[in-house]
Amino acid sequence: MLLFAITITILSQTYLSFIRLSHKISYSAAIQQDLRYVTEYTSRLVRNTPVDYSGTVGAVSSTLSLKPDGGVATKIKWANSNDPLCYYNYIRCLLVSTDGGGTWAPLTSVNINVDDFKVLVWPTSSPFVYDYGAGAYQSNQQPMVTIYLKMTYMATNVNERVTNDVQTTISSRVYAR
Amino acid sequence: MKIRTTYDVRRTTSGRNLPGQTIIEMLIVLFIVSVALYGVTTLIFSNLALQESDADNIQAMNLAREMLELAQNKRDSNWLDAQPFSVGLNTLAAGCTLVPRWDGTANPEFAYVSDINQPAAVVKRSSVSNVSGVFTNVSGTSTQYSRLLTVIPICANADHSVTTYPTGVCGCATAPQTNLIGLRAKADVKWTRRGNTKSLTVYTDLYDWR
Repeated sequence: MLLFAITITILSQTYLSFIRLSHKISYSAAIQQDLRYVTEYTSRLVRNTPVDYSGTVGAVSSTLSLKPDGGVATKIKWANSNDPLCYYNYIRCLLVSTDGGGTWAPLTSVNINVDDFKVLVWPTSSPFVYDYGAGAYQSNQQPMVTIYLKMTYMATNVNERVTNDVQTTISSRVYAR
Repeated sequence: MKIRTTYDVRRTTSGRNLPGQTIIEMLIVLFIVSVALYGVTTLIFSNLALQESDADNIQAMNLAREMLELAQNKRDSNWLDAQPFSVGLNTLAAGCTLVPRWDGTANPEFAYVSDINQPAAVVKRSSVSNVSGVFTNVSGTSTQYSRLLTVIPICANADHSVTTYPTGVCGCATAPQTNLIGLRAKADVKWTRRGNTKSLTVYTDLYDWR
């Protein structure tokens, strides 16, 4: 009887561990999928769309703004806590707007929390604007954007949560001068 | 009415033992269950290892791609600055194996490092407050990744009829390939996971097409 009880206990614990592990694996896959999607999406945008220098551009920000000449800006931002667009109130997601900030839609998936989103734009002044006062262009540096992204899958069980981060840099392919 | 099952190991009123599970049967069952569990465990743990490997690969690929983008950015910035396209890439005195010096707060530059096993090639996580966590080769907490950019000249004859990739040199000083028309940028990333060293390499060719 004792042997049987021990066997059953071991089996049930092993089964539960397997279930937990398989959950972690699927959550990890979901995170990786989102990381890939967001980095590819932003890479493509930055390559082909000029950086929006119309406002003040800081070296580090949580919003990416890109705007073609005479066009409408595309923006990606890290949503605030409790943003109703982010599925649940405990999730901070990435939001994208293709109409200059008029309307927003989530870029990341359900249950995925964005722990950190940094956008590093360099240079902070446009190399395509001529400063007549100084008699030179504002910068001689081709624009580039570095994206740092950290995400967590918000599983109900805290022990099953998975966190991953990724960073990529994209040099603009816009040759305006 | 009393019902006796085959698993009842109690003695009957006549004192005769009834058939039941013996320890040998139990051990056989345990053995079979253990073999099955071993198979499932192996499957799940190899799946977990694959997921970890996938996550490492994504990060390593992006770190490699970042170096290529920084090299391309350097070429493009040289054009804007009216400099030869390869300045800062193949013009460092010591050689053309490089690491990026980019922490988000100054113009990106490259510095010479002899090989990927040098401490300067280790990728760090920045601890500067506004860029904390960001990967950089400048300073911070060391990660499992190391990276190195190797610049190889793309040279041609004066009539552009021959293009070769001399190794071990940074320029096209050796005749007949005296005309530098581009650079091949090779990004290597190396990392360790559970004692195993892994690596990946990506290339891009940067031509002086302006």
